[in-house]
Amino acid sequence: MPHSTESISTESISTESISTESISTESISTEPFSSEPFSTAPQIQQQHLVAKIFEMQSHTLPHNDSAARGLAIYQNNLIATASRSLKITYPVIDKLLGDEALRLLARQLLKKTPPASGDWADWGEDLNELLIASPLTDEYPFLPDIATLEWLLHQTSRAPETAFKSETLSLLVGTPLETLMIQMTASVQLIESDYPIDVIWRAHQETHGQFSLDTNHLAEELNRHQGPCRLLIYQQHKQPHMQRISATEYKWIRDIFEDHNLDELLDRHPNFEFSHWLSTALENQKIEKLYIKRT
Amino acid sequence: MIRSNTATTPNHTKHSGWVGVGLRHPHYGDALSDSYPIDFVEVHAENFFASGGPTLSVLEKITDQYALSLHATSMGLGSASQINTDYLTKLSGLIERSNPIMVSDHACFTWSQLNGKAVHAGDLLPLEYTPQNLQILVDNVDRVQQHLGRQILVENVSTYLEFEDATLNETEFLVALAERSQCGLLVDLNNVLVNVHNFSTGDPLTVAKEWLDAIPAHHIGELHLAGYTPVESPELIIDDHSQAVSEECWALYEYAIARCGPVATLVEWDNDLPSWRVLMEEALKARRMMESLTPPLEGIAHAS
Repeated sequence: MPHSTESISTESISTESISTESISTESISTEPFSSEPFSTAPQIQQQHLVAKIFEMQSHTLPHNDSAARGLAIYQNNLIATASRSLKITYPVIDKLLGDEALRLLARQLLKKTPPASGDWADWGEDLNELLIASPLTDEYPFLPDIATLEWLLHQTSRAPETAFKSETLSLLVGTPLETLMIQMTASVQLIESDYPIDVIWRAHQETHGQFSLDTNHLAEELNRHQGPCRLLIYQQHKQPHMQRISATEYKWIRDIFEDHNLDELLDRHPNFEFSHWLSTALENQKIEKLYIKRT
Repeated sequence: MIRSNTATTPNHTKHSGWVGVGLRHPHYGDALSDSYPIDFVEVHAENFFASGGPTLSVLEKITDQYALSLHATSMGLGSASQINTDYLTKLSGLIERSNPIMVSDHACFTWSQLNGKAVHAGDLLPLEYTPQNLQILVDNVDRVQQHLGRQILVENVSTYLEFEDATLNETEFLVALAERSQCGLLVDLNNVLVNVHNFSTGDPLTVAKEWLDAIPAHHIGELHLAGYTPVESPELIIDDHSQAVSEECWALYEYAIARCGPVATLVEWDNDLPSWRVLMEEALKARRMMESLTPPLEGIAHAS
């Protein structure tokens, strides 16, 4: 059963509305902000300031050291904004780990992959990689896969809506199958996990603005789960959905993504009910068009 | 240097007498559920950069009901590294979709290089007020205005660093920008006050009024009003937009309207949001103040 992700906000983070987090005065590192670089070319000056902010090292703050205090504000703003961005993109990871852990991850992620597009909604894709290497995963081994799922839902929620080009259906008649290709819509994505990540994800959704985890129900669901969980993510009526699919359908769509033509697809999946799948996929806006591959 | 044709006739006085509010996600439901006595809403442009999904529907509903001001926060107009072309393309597409009455961003930088790679610093980073940085800002604003085919408004920012080698003051810098690029200025009165409190001596309101006196009224296309969380010295005040408009900001607004006329005005509140009703009351207060200080304008149809 497709599940709507209405509770995921796709709103990006404004860089104007900044946080009032307190400035750390606990560190013993003393490196007053130098005004010397600002006598050089603007590009170098700006790079220098950005480098100082992204160093994110705490500074001791002499009572009258306005420069260090100012730099600390920019550093705190950066981490606070990045943390808020992760909270929006990864609401279940946020519920599982809490503010402090997310802030730590934001700090690490800023160092690993600084933002580059001007839209915070584009940032944070590598969180799953950070989690794989994190001790947090010792307790929650499914965390990286939940992160991947949430990133895919986030991407799907922002993907353009594309109507099926119905006139391309006529290609099914008379076109050599070895040249006929299927193009899925831009929002369609696949994920496979050893954990029932859809169950875990749904258990952490809010209902009517309230969040309450039914741990008994979740434990039952987890105990019942066997084998890999394969999910299809897609957009329908402007909302992202996820749907558990069979291994057969998963491999079929994966092969479409790998640019196999229809002849190859049918060869590789001799028992696949193509007609039925096509009809359902069209109904659920998962296919953009059929097309002929030019060689 | 070639200047954009569309920028040669300033259009920022078109919206004189208009009062609006910043529209943020938690208020979408309230704002769209009924009609309210405001003339426009302002949204942060980047929140609507997605090429599909639910935000597009929300934007359509907003523009069906309200005149829209697009306030960008990531353009980094003072960046010595070039403004990202993909960013401008997204902004341009959004403008085409939403037909805003105003487009604005800030006198700051944000695009740069970090460890040899392009980076967006994610904040409104301060510019040293020098002729070199002025030229960069003028060139970037000119490029943006040409790319978008329209005039933009550029806002003064709150800063938390001072630069010893600055050779211009902030108002000289902004006025020169407006004259050379033919952009309009969005004067954020709260930002003026935050900077005065953080870095100036003397009575803050007096210093802020002097700041305002240095900006010719015809350059000002919009005013922003906001509040901030008070702090104890020597902490620096942070422009957090988490409070009602401060009494000091209202006093400066009164002075600004008396001096500049009924400039389009926006109440900003971004963090610790109040109810929509409280935000409407703040907008109503601005309208009353504006109307009490300026004669009625002919031909201006308010939403009220």
